[in-house]
Amino acid sequence: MFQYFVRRLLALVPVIFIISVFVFLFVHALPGDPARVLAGENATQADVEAMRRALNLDRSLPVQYVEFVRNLVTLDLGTSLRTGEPVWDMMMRAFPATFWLSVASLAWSVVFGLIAGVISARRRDSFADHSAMVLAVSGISIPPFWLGLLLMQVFSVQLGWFGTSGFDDWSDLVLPSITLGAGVAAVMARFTRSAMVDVIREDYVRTARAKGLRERVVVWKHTLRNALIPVVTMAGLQFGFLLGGSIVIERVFRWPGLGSMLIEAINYRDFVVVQAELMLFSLEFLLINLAVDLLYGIINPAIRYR
Amino acid sequence: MAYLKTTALAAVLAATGGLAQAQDIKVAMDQVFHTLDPQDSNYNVDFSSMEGVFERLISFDEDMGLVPQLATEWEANEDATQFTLTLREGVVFHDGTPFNAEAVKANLERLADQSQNLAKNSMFNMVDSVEAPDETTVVINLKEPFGAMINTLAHPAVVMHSPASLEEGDVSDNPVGTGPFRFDEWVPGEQLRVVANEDYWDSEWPKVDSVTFYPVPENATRVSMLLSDEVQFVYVLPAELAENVESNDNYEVLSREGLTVWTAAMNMNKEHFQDPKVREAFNLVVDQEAFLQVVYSGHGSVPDSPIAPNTQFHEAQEPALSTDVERARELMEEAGYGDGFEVEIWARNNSTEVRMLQFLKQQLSQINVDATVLPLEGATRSERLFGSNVNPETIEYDLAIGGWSPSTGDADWHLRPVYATEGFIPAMYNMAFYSNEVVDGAVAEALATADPEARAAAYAKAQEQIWADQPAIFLAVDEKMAGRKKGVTGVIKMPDGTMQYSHAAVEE
Repeated sequence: MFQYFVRRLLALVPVIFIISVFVFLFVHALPGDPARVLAGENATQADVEAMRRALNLDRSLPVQYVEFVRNLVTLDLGTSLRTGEPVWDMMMRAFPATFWLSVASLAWSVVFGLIAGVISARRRDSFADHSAMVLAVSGISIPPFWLGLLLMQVFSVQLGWFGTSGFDDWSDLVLPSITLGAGVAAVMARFTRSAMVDVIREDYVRTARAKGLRERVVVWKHTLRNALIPVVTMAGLQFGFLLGGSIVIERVFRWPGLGSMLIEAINYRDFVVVQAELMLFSLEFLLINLAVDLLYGIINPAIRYR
Repeated sequence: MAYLKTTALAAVLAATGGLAQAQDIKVAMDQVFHTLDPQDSNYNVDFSSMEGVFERLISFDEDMGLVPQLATEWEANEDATQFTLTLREGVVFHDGTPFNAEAVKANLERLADQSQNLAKNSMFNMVDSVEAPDETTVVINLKEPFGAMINTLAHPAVVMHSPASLEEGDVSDNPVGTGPFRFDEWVPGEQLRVVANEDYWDSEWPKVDSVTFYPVPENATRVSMLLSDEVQFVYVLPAELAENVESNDNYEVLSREGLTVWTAAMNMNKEHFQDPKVREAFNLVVDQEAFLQVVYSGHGSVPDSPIAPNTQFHEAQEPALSTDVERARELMEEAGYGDGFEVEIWARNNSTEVRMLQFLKQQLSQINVDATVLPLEGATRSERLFGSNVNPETIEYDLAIGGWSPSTGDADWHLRPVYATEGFIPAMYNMAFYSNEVVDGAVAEALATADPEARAAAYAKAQEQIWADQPAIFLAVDEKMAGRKKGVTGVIKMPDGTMQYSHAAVEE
């Protein structure tokens, strides 16, 4: 397994290189000139040219790309075009907020999604099944933006139970993580339900029942464990998305995370920051995928790594 | 619901003993801060947050009138090439450095030094030299006459840094000024805090212990923060949410007529807009009163000149804008466009400008003009209008919506960039490609003197000519709005869109 792990890590290197080409080209294909935007609306052409020189944007694209890659290798992510702050420092400041929000959202939505999915699958076409699935469809359909503002209006402005926004306190996690997790919980519930429904028809489940095992053991040990593979894959993917920072939710809740940082960077065409964030998100996805692959073996010992 | 809110609030107030004890004022701003060096910024949020930390030589009062700040007197020579300022005595920077003529010289030379690449360098490219003959006198010599110099000095970016801090290096995150508040902490993207400066030269101020600013780009969140008492001031209150604040007895809406005149510039490189009858028809067909209701929920006024009433040297023009669809149709007929034509209108993609687009499309259809509207994302719009490869001859738009606010409060910085020939995009902001000798002459004439009467006369001439030529559909003068907790005073919204808080206080 260790060999497998090392091989997979090494395989990431060419992938990251390919990603770097795409990220660089994508970012530079965006319409909009950072010098123009940063110089401001009332700036004259002379101001813009001064800004371009100050930002070193007057060099050719290949030259900029070579420097981008060289900096990546040395883990120097450059400095923000907008603020002049090292991008590494900015990301380290924003990462914890996004990380904790992702963990909180994923935690409650996985627990909730699994329970709802199992109950639905066990009692198919019952009232509980239908209500859980209606709830799940609502969770996917409600625009998170609107749900966030609604929760804020009720629980912060009207009831005063939570602060409206910002991340000063652990209680500040409640509203944004509910908002962000709603969609994930819904996806998890539906996924768990369909995986369970497939597995519950398998012969070994019937055998387990025939052996006289208690229904609880049959459901949670024999069925769920085997249904978990697609569910874990899905959870991993969702975690990857969450770690990318939800731009909308972070903006609504004034969350000082990667999503807020990304939207500001895009608005101001702060290429250096956008590039660095996209590279980070790609890396996160790759690592989560790897972690999910390793988890398979723990969940189902029949899976072997070679 | 309103009852519930009020009771909840009363409970909170009772528990905390009301606002009287809170000596920290919290403010939610509409944008993130870019830098703490106003000399290197183009953004009102940066000017506003640093207003209490730094002082300018000359400042604006609430009505954009010039008032002494670090300079107590100023005078100009006849041809507006030399300006002499007398400085306030007994002022010290937060780091203990004395404020004197040498400090002013260091700051103005920094602004004039084009190699610094500061955002505001180009405002000072006419400065030739700065002299400090004694402790309290500064003489500014210009390369060419510039009658708008005093207003330029009053621009919110023209602050006085401690010369010691400038020598130390980076002032973008270490602001040292002379204001009633000193810089305490900045967490980019999260908050910015300033605390009272006990050694401020005017012993009457400051009256609060600290002011904390939060960048909150989301409109609804900003208002929620005010209504749940997390902040006491919301800077930039969108017109559509003003009702939520106004309907609650504990809060008030501050509203000031701004300096921004919104127009839809008519691209005069297009054949149809070269005909004055067509331009007149476009102004006649648009109902400006209805525009204000649709776009600003009534918070604004109908323009009476190319520049806003609060801008210096504004002169109300005759005839006032009016709506007459019949006459507009006749004019189009006379111009040979009775069946109308197709136009493309550009604007930004924010909700306010999208409403403008929809409204104009509907209004123009009354004279058979078929409008294609194009809402553009901010940076994309900048690129397409002001990018270095923009070609005035081939640019596609027929009408371009835009609002211009002269941040110096002076007519020059509205008429010159927007209506003079030298202002053609992409260089400045003349999106109509309007070019008129009378206007160009008057704008140049007004800059060649510092005599207010002569300048007023020249600007009156320019305004009259532009009003007659109608190179744009004049749409609205917007209001600058803010939300405030009742009992907080001295935090105010300025017509130029910035905010002042030096005289913040909490009523007992």
